[in-house]
Amino acid sequence: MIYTAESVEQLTENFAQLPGIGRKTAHRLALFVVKMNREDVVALAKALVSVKDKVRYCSICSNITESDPCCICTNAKRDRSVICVVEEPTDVLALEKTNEFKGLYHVLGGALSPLDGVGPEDLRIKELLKRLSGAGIEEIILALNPDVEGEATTLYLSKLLKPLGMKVTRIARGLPVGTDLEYADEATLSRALEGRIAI
Amino acid sequence: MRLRTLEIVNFRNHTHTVVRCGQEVNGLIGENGQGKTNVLEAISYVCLTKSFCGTADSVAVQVGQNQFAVSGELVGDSGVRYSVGVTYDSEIREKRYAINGSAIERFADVVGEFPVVVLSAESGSITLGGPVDRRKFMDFVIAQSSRSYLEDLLEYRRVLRQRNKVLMDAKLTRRDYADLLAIWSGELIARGVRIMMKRRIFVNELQALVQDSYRKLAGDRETPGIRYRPSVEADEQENEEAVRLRFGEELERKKEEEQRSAATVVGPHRDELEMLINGLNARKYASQGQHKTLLIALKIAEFAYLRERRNEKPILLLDDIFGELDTHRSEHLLDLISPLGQAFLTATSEKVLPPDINWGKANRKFLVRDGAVTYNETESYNW
Ligand SMILES: Nc1ncnc2c1ncn2[C@@H]1O[C@H](COP(=O)(O)OP(=O)(O)OP(=O)(O)O)[C@@H](O)[C@H]1O
Ligand SMILES: [Mg+2]
Ligand SMILES: [Zn+2]
Repeated sequence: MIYTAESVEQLTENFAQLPGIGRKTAHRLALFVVKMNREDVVALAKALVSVKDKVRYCSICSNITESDPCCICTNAKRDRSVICVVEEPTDVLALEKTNEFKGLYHVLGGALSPLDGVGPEDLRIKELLKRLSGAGIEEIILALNPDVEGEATTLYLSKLLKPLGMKVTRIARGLPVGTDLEYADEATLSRALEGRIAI
Repeated sequence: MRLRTLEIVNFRNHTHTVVRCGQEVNGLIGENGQGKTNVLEAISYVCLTKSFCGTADSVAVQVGQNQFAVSGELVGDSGVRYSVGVTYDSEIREKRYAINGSAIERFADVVGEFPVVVLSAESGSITLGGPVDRRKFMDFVIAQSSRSYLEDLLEYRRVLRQRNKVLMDAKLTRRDYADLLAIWSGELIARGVRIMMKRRIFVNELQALVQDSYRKLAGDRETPGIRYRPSVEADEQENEEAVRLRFGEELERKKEEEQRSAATVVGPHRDELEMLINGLNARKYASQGQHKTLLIALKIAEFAYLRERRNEKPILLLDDIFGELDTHRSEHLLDLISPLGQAFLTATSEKVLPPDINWGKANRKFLVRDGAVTYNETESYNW
C-alpha cells in the first residue's frame, strides 16, 4: 500500500483490531472516514472516548454502567429477593428486553473454560457469595449460555450454592443449542425464564 | 436428492465453472491434476458446507484470490427445489452458507439436509485404517441421519478438550482439581452415554444392510460382520442408566492412568467399530479383494441406511474408484443409482467406466481440463 497516506494506514490498523474486521474492510472503513463530514468524525471520536471514560463496572453486580451502583441495583422497585446470574453484560440487556424479570443481576464475566484459562477464581464468584451472605436473597436463577461451558458453570455454581439454603434454579434449556442468550429472541427467552427448573 | 446445476468461482483450479448435471450418472473425465476431484469437493461444500476430505476452507480458495463462491440448485426426491450458496473469504476467515437466500447461522444445522455418500481412495481406511477412521465413518453416517447425535458429538468433543485441559493443569500445577474434574466428568458422561446408545443401534441396523449387500457382491461363501466395541464395555441389553453408571465407574478406575497421561482414556472417543469376515478381524486377516468388497458393501449399506432414514436418496460421489474395482463390483454400485438416484464419478479415461452406461440425457459425460469443464450439449436440458 505505497499509494496511501500514513494516517489512513494507522486508522486501518486500528480498525483491523476490532473483532470480525479484516484488513480489507478496515481499509474501506478508513477511506470512508476520509469522506465523512468533519463534524461527524469528531462526534464519532468523542463517542469512542466517552464510552471509555464514562462506562465502568457496577461494584455490586458487575454490569456495565455510567453511575455506580448501576440503575438496576439502585432501583427500589426491583425485587431484591432474586438474583439472576449471567455471563456477560449483553445477557443482562437481552433479559431486560423481555420485561419478564424484575429482580437483580450478577454478571460473572464469563464461564468456566479450562481451555481459555478461565477457572472459578477468574469469575466473579467470590463477589456473588458475598452478596448472598447479606440477608433477603431467596432465589438464585442461573441463566448461563446453553453451551458446554455454560452448563459446566451452572453445575459448579449449583454445587456451591445449594448448601447455602436458598432456592437455586436454572433457565429451561428451551433455547436452541448453541444460541447465546444475547441472540435468543425475546419470546424464547421469556419462555426459558418462566420454565426455569430447580436444581 | 439430486444436483441440477453447479457453479464454481475461484475455487481450487476452477476460475469459473458451470456444470449442468444429468439426472443419473455424471462422469467427470480428465487427466491427472485437471480438477475432477475439485468438482466433487465443490459439491461437498454445497451439500455439507465443507470439503469431504476435511481440508481447511482457506486451501480451497484459488491461489492469488481471497474468496471463493460455490452455488448449486438441488432437487429433492419429492420435487422440492433448493438453491444453495457457499462463499468463503480468506481475509476475514468467514464462511457464509445460505439456503434459498437465507443465511444459515450454524453449519451443523445443514448436516443431513442434503445427504451424500462419498467413496474415494481415502475411504479405504475404513476397513484398512485405525479405529479413528472407523469412528469417523460411523459419525459421518449417524450425524447425517440424526441432528441430536451431531449436537452431542460436537459438544462431547468440546467437553473432552476441556476435561483434558483440566487433567493437564492438574498435572502441571499439582493443585487439587478434583471438583472441576468432577464437573467435566459429568458433562462428558451425559453426552458420551447418548452417543454410545446411538452408535449401538446404528451398528445393529447397518449390520443387516452390510450382510445383504455383501451377499449380492460375493455370494454366500463369506459372511461379513460389524461389531460395536465401546470403550466403556457394556452388555447389549444394558439400558442408558446402566451404561451411565459404568462410564462413571470406568473413569474412577482409570483415575491414576488419567492423571499420569493427562488425558481422558475412556469414552466414545476410544470406541472401536470392528469389521469381520467369517468371524475374523478384517483389518488383520482380509485379502485385498475382501477389503474392496467389504468397503463397497459398507457404502451400499450407508446409502440404504441414509435413504431409509432421510426418506431421500443420497447423492453419490465416487472419486477415482473405477479402475480400482472390477466391472462386477462397479456395476453393482451403479445399480444403486438408477432409477432414481444421482452419482458423480471421476475417471482418467472413459475406458475404466462401466461399459453399459447409456450416455445422453440422464447420463452426462464431462471433460475436465485445466480447471474447465466442457460438455457436448446436444440434448436439451429441461429437468
Ligand atoms: N487452491 C488452489 N488454487 C489453484 N489451484 C489449485 C488449488 N488447489 C489445488 N489446485 C490445483 O488443482 C489441481 C488438482 O485438482 P484435482 O485434485 O481436482 O485433480 P484431479 O483431476 O482429481 O486429478 P487426479 O486424477 O490426479 O486425481 C492441481 O493442479 C492443483 O495444483
Ligand atoms: Mg482426483
Ligand atoms: Zn449493579
